[in-house]
Amino acid sequence: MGSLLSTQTLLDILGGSERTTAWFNSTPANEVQVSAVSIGQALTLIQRIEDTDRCLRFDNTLNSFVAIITTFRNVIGFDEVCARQWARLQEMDLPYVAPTGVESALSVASRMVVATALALNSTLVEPLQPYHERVPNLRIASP
Amino acid sequence: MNAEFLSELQALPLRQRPALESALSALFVRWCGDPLTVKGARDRFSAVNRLARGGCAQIVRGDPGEETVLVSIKDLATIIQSAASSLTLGSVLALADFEPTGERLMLDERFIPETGLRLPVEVSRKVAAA
Repeated sequence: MGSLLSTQTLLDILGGSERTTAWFNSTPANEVQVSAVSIGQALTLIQRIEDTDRCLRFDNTLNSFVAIITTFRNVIGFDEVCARQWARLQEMDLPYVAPTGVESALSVASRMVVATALALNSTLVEPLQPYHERVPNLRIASP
Repeated sequence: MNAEFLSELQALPLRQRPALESALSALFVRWCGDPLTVKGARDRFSAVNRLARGGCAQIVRGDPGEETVLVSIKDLATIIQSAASSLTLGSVLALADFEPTGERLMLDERFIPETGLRLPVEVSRKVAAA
């Protein structure tokens, strides 16, 4: 049973947030999982950075982190089991509050990440969100 | 291979390579007995191999850092699992010299639901007429 990073938690690790640093200093490395969908979401954001040096720095940092998770074979693809979980989540009202405080509904891609956690019976690593209590069987670890 | 050996293994200094090799060599000597000479290992290889298979790893003498260890696959798997489980993500990132960017990126969360399957017009008419 692993700990699947939410995409925002992945981004926070790349940025070096103190909150995630405390969490991963107490979490066994071989338990940490990253969804391939999260990697895609992170790359989408990174590609939009106009400053070339900043963009390259984030790209390299993401690649370094993914390489480490890959050594533990913990980059998780999106398969049929995940897809079936995702289909259920698509019909649900899942409110999300961004770090900026802006409220919205959880995006399609982030629902795929949540679906992956459910499919693997993993704990989703994400600060507490309003949508968490609406998803049955979803386990959360808040860094 | 017992729990005390594995416990000492988890306490080895990981960040400095020379210190790690020296501590590893001392650990194996402490638990596996005095190192064998190359000739001694060769002359008694069957017995040495049997001991390693039975859970008692054997160390063969060499220059510092050049010693070799005969260990069964099962014990090697146990060592690797034990070492891996003791490593936090933080320590692995430190060992890999992972350097965060120092800047936070934030996801833009917006939910754009699928509108459903759209049928071609002729098929829609046939379905409606049926």
